[in-house]
Amino acid sequence: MNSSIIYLDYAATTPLCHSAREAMIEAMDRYNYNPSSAYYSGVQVQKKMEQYRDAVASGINASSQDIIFTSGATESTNTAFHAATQIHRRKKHFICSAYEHSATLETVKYYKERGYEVDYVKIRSDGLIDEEDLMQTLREDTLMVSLIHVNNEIGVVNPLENLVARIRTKNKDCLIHIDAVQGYLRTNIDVMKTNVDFMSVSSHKIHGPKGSGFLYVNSKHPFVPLLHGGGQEKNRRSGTENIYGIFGFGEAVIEFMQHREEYNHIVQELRRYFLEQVMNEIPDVILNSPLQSESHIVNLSVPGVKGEIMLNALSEIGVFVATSSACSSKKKVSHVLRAMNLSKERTESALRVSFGRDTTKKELDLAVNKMKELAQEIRMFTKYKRG
Amino acid sequence: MYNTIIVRIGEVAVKGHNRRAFEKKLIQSIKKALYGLEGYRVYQADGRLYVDIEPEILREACKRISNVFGVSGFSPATFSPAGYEELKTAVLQLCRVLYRKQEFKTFKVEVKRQNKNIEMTSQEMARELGATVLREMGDRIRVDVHQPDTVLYCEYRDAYNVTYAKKYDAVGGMPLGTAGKAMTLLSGGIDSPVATYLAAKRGLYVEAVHFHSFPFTSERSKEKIYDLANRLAAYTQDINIHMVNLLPIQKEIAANCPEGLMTILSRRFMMRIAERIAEQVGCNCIFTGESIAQVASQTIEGLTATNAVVEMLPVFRPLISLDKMEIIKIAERIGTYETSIIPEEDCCTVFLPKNPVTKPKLHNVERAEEKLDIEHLVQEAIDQKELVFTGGERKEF
Repeated sequence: MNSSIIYLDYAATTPLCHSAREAMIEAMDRYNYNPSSAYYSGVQVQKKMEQYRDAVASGINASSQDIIFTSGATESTNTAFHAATQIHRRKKHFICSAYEHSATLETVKYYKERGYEVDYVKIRSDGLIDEEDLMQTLREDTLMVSLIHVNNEIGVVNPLENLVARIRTKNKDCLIHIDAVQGYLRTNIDVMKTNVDFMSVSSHKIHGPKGSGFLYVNSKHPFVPLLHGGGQEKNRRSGTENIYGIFGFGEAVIEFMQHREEYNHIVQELRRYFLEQVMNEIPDVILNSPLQSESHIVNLSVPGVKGEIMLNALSEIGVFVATSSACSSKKKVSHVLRAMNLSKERTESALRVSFGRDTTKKELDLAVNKMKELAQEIRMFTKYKRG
Repeated sequence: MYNTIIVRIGEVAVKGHNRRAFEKKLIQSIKKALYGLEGYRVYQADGRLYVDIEPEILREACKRISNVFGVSGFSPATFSPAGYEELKTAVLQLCRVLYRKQEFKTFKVEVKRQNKNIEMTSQEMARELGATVLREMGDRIRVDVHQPDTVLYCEYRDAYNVTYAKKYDAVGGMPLGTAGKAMTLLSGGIDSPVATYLAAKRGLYVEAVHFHSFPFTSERSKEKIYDLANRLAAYTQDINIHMVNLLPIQKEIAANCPEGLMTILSRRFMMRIAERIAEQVGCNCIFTGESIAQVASQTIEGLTATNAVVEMLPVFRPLISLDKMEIIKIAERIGTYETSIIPEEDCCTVFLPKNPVTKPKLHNVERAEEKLDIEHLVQEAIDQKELVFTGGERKEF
């Protein structure tokens, strides 16, 4: 990305890491064979692909045979729902939280229009999924519960192990799908300990290429694919494998895993530093995310300053932030903040700032400084605290 | 079968000695609309306009012609060689083709004769042609002169015959450029593109002025305007857009005037600037998308306050009495609605006062402005404007 730009939107996408880029170029130059081909070079590609499958599986401590490479988390999520409906055909009840990513919300909406019942679990004012409400909506005939692990707009980390355990205690047959897009590698996820059935992950949020991801599927279930065709991915996802995407994704994971503690520590420190600065410098900032969090996402409101105006003005001077998820920013109001029952003013003035291992404190100083100036200027217009 | 399109010109036809000039403009407009297609010829004959076409472009040509202002209707038609027997053959073929496309039960024949060589009245000729059709089609169809499913129009002319059956409505209005030039205030909303369209419909060329509050409004909101202008260009031809940054003025208003008057005062500046630019580029009127009581600034008092600053040019508000749903219907039909509803902050929503004054008194508004150096602000805004030319190429949607 351009060096004069201060990129603070790592939750939308992350820069491609060097090793991923190299691996992709190599895939195009040296490994441009069909992994299903029987001759030597095809087999080589197949082997390499399996190494990368091991790598991405290790990120959630899964067995690599439970990993299906996909075009990203949206496809993974759609596949999980489709597969679920084929595992228990009689059950017609889905549960998800009210602040899922649109990949989940739109998929359940699709099933709802086709006769499924859907319950949306409430969100607590601190941003966590309301466990008690979840337990109340959980029924004997619930087909699947789909929950987001780290929310993409406010960065709250839901206690996965605990949630899954409670669901299992009440209904051991209910399927569980986890949207792990923002938490993958940034938090510890261990499917050996946390017994879920499906998990969706995307490559471009962890410095891999776009158009690549995986679906974790617990192999104990029969599986009916979403895409039919040449029977790739052990008949679970047809279509010639996107080897560039898979190679890039795999290398990005290997790189991340090698420095995982260091990288996550850097981001934690950046988050802490940013919060400290922004709360000190800009009067009346309200934090919509938890103060302490393992995630790389901060959501805050600057009362008297519409988020969109701040975003536009910052973007003009090369500071890139977001108002809500990039996938839903075309819809005016954030469904996540609405689910948290925040006031209209707080929702309208919300900004999402997210960091990565390449972010520097100097960049944060500059960004906070700009935000401070703009807040002052815009508040003059809106007569903040004067009218 | 069809090798020409009869273009009906509605209101243009009732013009007295201006008619030729109107027709000339209309021919220009049709040619412009058909630009890029291969195989057509636009000309005037028999007191009407014809567009001869190759069969493969018929559908597209009809679609485009139906949107040309000044065209009230059209009919795909067939020229065939002169002669009465030839006319019989032609009407039979027309009937067969129509029946194959969509079966009908009743019909009648209508005849117009320019060639009076045959000793027969038009009615007699119609009867005989009808009989010819009946002989061919058997008892599948019958004649109904009062409410036929299909009318077969036959024109028996000296040099050729013309046959057709369908009369389609077109957009109407007056040919572009026959009425002068309008300056329209084009925001990113639903209304102003419709007002712009309606200005062009009555024969006005249009130029637009767009106000933004960059950098508080986004690059994308500018793109939205270009997109709207491109969509409008299908009707209005090329549009020049004067992009004016209102932010410096809004800053001055915010610093010096009561908050509740922000919108009204901003709009007064918009009107002043629009009129100034309009005069510079030779527009002889201003069009806005205002509709009574739609928002706080569009009350009669609000409109009075904004109208008061326009010194010379008439301000037309074609949507003044339309309900939102009526406006949306037009916007959908002309293809601007989808773009208009993309949510983007614009210069009006950026600093919406919490409690806007809905019934401003003119003297209060004028007093509130006293602290501002109006002339300087207006001139500066105009000096800084960008001129964007859109609609250079015809877009398909």
